Amino acid sequence: MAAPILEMKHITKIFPGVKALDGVSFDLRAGEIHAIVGENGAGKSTFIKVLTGVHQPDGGEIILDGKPLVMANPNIAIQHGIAAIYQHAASYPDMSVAENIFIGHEFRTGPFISWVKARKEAQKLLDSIGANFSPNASVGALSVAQQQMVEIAKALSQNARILIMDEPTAALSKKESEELYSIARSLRDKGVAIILISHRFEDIFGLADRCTVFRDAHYIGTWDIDEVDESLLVHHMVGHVIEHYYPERTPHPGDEVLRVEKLSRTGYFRDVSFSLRAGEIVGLTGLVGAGRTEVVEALCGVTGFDSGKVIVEGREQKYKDPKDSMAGGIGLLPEDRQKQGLLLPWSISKNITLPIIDKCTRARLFMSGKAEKTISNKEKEQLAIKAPDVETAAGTLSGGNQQKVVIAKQLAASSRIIILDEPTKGVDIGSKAAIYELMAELAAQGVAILMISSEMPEVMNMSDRIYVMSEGHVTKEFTDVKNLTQQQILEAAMPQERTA
Amino acid sequence: MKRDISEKTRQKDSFSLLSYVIEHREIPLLGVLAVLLAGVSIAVPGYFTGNYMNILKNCSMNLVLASGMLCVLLIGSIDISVAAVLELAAAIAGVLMRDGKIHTMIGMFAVGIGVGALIGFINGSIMSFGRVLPIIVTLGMTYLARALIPMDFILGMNKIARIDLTEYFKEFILHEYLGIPVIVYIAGAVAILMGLFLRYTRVGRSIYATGSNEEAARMRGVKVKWIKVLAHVICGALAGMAGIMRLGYYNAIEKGAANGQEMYVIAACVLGGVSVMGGYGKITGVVIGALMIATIDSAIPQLFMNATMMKEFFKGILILAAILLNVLMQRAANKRNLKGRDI
Amino acid sequence: MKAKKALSRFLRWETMLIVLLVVLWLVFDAKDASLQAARIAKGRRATDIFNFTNMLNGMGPYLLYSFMALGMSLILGMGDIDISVGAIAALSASVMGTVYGPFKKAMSPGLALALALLCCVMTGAACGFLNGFLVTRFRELFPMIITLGTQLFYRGFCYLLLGGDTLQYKDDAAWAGLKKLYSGSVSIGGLSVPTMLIWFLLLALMFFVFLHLTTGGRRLFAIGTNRVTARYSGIRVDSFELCMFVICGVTAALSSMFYVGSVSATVRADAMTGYEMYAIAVAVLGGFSTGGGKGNIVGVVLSVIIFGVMKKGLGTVFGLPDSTVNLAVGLVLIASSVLPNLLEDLSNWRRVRRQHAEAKLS
Repeated sequence: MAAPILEMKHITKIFPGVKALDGVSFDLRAGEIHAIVGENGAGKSTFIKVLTGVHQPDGGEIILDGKPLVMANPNIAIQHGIAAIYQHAASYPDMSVAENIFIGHEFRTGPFISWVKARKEAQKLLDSIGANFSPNASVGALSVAQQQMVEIAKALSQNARILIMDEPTAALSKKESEELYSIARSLRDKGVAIILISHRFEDIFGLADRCTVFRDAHYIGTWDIDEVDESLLVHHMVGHVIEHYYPERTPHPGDEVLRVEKLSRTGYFRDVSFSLRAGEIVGLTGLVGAGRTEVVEALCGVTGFDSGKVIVEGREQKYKDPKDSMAGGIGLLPEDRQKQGLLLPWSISKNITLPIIDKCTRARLFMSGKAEKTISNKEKEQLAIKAPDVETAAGTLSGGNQQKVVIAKQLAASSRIIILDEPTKGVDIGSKAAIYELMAELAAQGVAILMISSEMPEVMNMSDRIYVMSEGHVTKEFTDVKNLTQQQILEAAMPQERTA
Repeated sequence: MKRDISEKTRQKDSFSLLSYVIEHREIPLLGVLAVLLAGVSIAVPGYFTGNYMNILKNCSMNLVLASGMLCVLLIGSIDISVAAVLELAAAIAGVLMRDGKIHTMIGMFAVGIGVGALIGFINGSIMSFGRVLPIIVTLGMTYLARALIPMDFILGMNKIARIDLTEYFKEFILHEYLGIPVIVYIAGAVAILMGLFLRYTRVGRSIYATGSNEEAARMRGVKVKWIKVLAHVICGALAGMAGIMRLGYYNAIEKGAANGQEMYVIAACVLGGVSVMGGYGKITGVVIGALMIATIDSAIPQLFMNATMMKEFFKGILILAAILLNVLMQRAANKRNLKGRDI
Repeated sequence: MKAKKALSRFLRWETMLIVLLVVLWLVFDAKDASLQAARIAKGRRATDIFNFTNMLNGMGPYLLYSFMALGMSLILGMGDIDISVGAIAALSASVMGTVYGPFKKAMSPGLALALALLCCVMTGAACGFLNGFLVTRFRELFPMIITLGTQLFYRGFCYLLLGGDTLQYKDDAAWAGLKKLYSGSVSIGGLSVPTMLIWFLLLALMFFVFLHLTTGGRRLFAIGTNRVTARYSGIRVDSFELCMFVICGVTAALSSMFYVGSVSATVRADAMTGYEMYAIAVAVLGGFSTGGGKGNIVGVVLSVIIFGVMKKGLGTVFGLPDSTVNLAVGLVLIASSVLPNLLEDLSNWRRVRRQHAEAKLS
């Protein structure tokens, strides 16, 4: 067994009010792919940032090639051959591909950067990973998957010895993921050590040699990949066994409450049609960037659409503002709960009552704290939001509880149609189960639910029907969900399928 | 299979065409400038031939200021204190020359640039380390600088006038070599150096990176806070330099002399396609923007019969309209790009 | 817990303002006392220039920008800024002055003045509407750049109306009545209180009720905290913001009415230059951060008083020139926005250190 090239011992990192890492240890050997798994908030991202010098640890040491190293800033990490591909494409949208790839280690003649050489080398790198766009293209004009390719090329251009991949396949199609796998494998065979962070078990079992689990800022353990299976990993990640993950339910679809016909918005989606019945849970899936969010934002009046029809409860509507769609009984749970769903510094109670402030008043004008408290306490109880009281600031809650607060907003507004955009993204497994339970309950009460999700198991287990989108079009509708395979959905979601 | 390949190449072509337009957003601006000049020339016969040197002279100071503003806008900040800094730097240098402490041209520029850089440093530091919004800091600095000018140790209740300056200094700024005044050479040199700095040096790239995606830049090892300070130092230094240029041009300075100049500087940048959100902007655009402002400025008196009161009014309206029009054009271009997305 | 902490921080800011006020007061009072002692030593009669009655009587000029500061608080609370309030005030005054003459020829002076005042307010509202319209339609440009541009435009409009002339209404009976209404004083419990202070406090009370007790205030702070979330939560952000800009324009017009009515009875195109700076400084010192989402009208009222005391104290007691006072205003503006951030850094640092200590113990 080769000696580890990187050891991290008892790393501790403290942020005001939170311990993000508590004595975490980790080791990495040359020529291995080492997966780190854990739930959101387990400390994976902070750990990576400590390793790349973005954060300085409050305790513990980093040992590289047997020598202790003080990672005072990101440049030291770069000099030692540590490169990272970050989860949220960390690119510069206003710059060209070549500029993005070589930023920070440009080719220079004298003090000046040589852009000719940069462009040539960028082309070579792009060819080597099978990317088909020009190094002169502006990164902002590329798709999410292409931006991820730019990130990969950027990491490769640094000739890294240690490569960190943080959720690299989240935005990639299966084919692109395969390409990424083969790049990762060939790098490993050349002796590069790779740290892989992913919540996709396919990635972990298809690629990794070893696997380390973090939970609640603690180190749980490291295993060879043959020693563990999926259920064991989940057990380690969550810390307890979860039964009845998806609730049992028998759907009783009622009348059609929402019908979308040939909805188009130039540049985003075209001819999108689907329908939704009361008491039904419908899944809308596809790859990130397929246009799912854009469709629901258009129909709810956040952006608007160019042509097509939206028919709500039998009447054609063209909402100009989310306020209108809310009045029409549609609740939208936006994709990014921190930026679109919540006012983080505000209390749970003020967040929940924001859509219905007109109802929490005396004489229809003055805010009534009492009415607010009654409503929000009721919602807090119903959704089992874990917080000392409703005066707790939303920003201090965990991801799962934050999501429950956003859902509570829709419920308080007593919506008859609820659109959930990635309802379990970044939510711990316990809260996930609670959210599924709630969805089932609402559907049983006759609420129509449209769920946008990229997580295949969730889509397949929760939906009564499934629509698949790809590149701005609805490519397929599945009505027989019971006998569906993941492969069928993925095929419909692949961009290539449409042209071939 | 064959179709797959053709699909790929087509995609490649459309991308390079798209990227070309995106990379050279300044090309349409040049067209607008040409139309503007042509329009005025037709309306006022003999306008262009008699005025092009005036346009260049008028835009020199604005261009130097706008080059600095470009740095600041690129990091997503703004500096509205440039006009006040210009006055302060010119006043201090002017007082020193009046009192016989400086005689040389280099000395004057050194003092002006030094004063400006110092104020820029203070601005940038308060923003970076005190986490105060740029508007507040530079608004406060505007008043601080204008309050300092009438202090006894600077100008007191006086002004700097012709007699306070040396003959050489008065003559130098407008002295012509090869038929072009020095002031234009200075502005040209500043613009070229700024262009080289931003495109071909690592620090210049860091400025773009910070404005484009601050978080990513920090993770990539860019010292974001210091880059911000640096951008403000550059902006301040160039404002100070413009102060000396102004002193040489008008041979006079007093408190409030350049009042409102900051708007024309920002307007030159915005018209030149610089994004006020940071991350995008080129010196070529700024040059064109400054030329546009100078053209508008010199054309108004000719078009509206030199009514000074009218001039301010129309200048305000035209610049506001030009900025808004620029945004509308940008939106139209974006919409066209979306149509080309093939969805 | 956190909300309570936020509340206590809120209170702390207002407490800090009170402490600052007391300190300033004591310093000026002490200096004043020593000045008088010096006069008495020289055998002259003591003239107490800095005391409560004097301060109250002389509050008038310091209250002019306070109306604007109330409007500015709304704008800052939403995370926007309006640089054009000074120019709006000048334009409103110009319109009022320009229309009064022709009106007077057509009707009785009292009615003419009332109509002129109405025109003044309408002008402010129209300017605010234009600002709000452009701000909500041109989000790419930020309120800062837009209002910087409209400021030039409004100021240019003043020159177009008035040229370089100065309109004077010193001998006009109707204007004298206006002056009495605005700058007179009322006797309350033996103290003569400037009417303008009463007007201001009434307006401040209205703003307080709106911002802190009604749904409108909740909406406003929601927009300031996170505009996107506010929109997703069913707030019509654009139209609400537009309304607030209109209100801000109206407060600027009110300022100009008091300016013309009480201070000078003259109208010039370059009047009230730089008032926007005072308005912003007062609001920021009052606790409205430019980031938006927080602030309290009580703080603004306190900060109006602090500015008054500071200007009076520096000007009359210490005898410093006007530019020094401006210097102090600029410094206060910057300091009052840096200070909360530094305090927060400090408390975070101490918190991390405490956690360290706890970690070591365990």
